[in-house]
Amino acid sequence: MTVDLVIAGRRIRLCSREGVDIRPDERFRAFEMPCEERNILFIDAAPGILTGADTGIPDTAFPFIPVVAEPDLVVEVEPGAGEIPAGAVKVFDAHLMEEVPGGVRNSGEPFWEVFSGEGVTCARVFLKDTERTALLVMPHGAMRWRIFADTLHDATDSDSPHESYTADNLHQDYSDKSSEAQPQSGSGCYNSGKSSAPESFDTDHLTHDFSGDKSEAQSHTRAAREKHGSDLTTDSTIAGTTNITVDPFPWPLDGLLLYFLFSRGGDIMIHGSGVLCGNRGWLFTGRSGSGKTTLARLFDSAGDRVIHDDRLVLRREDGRWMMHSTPVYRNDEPRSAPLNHLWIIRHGVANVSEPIAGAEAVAMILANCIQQNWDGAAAARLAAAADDLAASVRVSRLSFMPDTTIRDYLRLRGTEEKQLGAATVIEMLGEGRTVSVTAGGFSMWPAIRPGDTVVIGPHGAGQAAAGQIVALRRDGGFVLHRITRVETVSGHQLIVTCGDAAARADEAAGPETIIGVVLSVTRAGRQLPPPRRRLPRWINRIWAMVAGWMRG
Amino acid sequence: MIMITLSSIPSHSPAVVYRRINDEYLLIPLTGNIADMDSLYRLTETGAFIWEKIDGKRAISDITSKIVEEFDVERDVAEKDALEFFREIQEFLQFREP
Repeated sequence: MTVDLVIAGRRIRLCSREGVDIRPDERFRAFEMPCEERNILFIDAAPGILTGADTGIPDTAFPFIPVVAEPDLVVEVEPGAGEIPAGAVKVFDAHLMEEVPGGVRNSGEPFWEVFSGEGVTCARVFLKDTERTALLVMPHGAMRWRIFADTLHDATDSDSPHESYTADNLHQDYSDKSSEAQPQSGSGCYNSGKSSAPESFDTDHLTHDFSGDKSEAQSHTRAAREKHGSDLTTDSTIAGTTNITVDPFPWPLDGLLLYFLFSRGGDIMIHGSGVLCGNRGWLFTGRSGSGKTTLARLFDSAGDRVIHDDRLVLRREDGRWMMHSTPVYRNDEPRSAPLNHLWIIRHGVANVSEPIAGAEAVAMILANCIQQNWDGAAAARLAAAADDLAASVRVSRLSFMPDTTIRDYLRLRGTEEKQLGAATVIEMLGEGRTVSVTAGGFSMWPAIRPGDTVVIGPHGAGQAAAGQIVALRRDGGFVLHRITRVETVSGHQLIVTCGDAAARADEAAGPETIIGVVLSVTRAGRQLPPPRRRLPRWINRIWAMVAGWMRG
Repeated sequence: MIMITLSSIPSHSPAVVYRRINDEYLLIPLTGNIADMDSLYRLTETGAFIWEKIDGKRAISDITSKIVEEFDVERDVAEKDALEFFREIQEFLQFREP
């Protein structure tokens, strides 16, 4: 049997041998896709042909060649016991958290653990019935993994139709290994070994369907496991033969599989609420209790599209970053949107945003990512992705009041920056006046940083010179870039500009694109001296900054 | 507590992942092979300059010489600051004596 799931744009093909039926949990229903897809070449070869609703002619009237879609990952699903590969040692184990008044505490009960061996990584999860485990086996460099969806430890269960381990040999197995490997212990939260608080889910249904069942699917608490754990393997009689029906993703194995899949692909899994407000994709991330669900509810109530309010996948696609929903709740569905601005949120007494950039922005993103990195390569991959994300989309801290004013604040803020402010500046420079603006982008980092006050004056004809930072007309507004070259081609002057932090130069343009020249840059109330290198502080401990701001 | 002196030779620890971001470095400690995202360090421009001079061959005194060449600072001040720097980020480094 074959079942395809397409999650955040990645096709996962679940396969089982004859006699084994695959039945994913309800929360994956909307993510199931046919294994075959329409041959796109046929459509391309016959431009102008419309099908289906466009013509009134049913799709079936058009011949097409079905092709089997190429999966990103193939997972062989087995109902039987899994075996940790010989030589693999435990490198991480997470314990189940218990909700207690005022927070959560580590119950000390095993929840999931990771083994690493020669060319393979395994993740084993402990299910509702704590004597049952499921195992995910991931050979390195291969996109063909195996899931053993049900292991019975109890030797008395030997009548089970599938293979089984005895409790003795399993316990002996990894107790020996753990004594050798001295694995790290974690809280069981995806965020990090240190993080402890799972999301606090409200039970109220929101007005739209995106969170109708806040089922704690990703909470690592005992209550969540009680709710999600189920009899994983059942026998059923179909046409006179006994088939085994398997849930391929016994919770919380689904979250681990998705994490490994997306992590290895260079994607980012992050806790947050993603919304599409107008044509702007905004992602709000922060620690538990920072207001992610509150913001999702506010935007949802205003009619905006909520991509997801708990766990999203971020990926660079076709030159831009996109955010995708993942199956968490029972009525989730695939949703995607471009990501334009990422906000690190916390509750406040006023709506205030402050742009951040560079290492600080990357650190803030990393602190909210879902990660279980026990190897440097995975951490480096995540850091590289976060670096690219921070350089590509705007990142800001946001203190907000939990009411509708925050939506207006963010919408007006964008409009002001993009249109009104730019138009006014262009008009004033055209009148020969000097204007002062607040920088908001990163393209001129570190010469001009977000929040700097930049004084721009009129730019006289024929004054363009390499090294000048100038204001250039761009998309109805303007950008500040540096002139890198001035050329004369066929008697016409051409200006080549580039952002100091940009990888490639702008397209050469005539001097008429210059609307002003930067006269000075002021940072924190101080006009910057000439670029002589000075001895600043050696080091900033991000921990203090992150913790102080986010928990303060 | 490791005794760090000007003759100590630092090298980057395998228990840290580092990444240059603009003119800064972000240090991600792998505490027992678990990336600890709650304890990220940022090296500013000057810290990044020193970090890049750490190669497992140069002693701290040699790195101090590079600092004096590059920056407008007296040697005794640079030595004091460099030792302070290395002591502060020693968890990301390994040291040996010549």
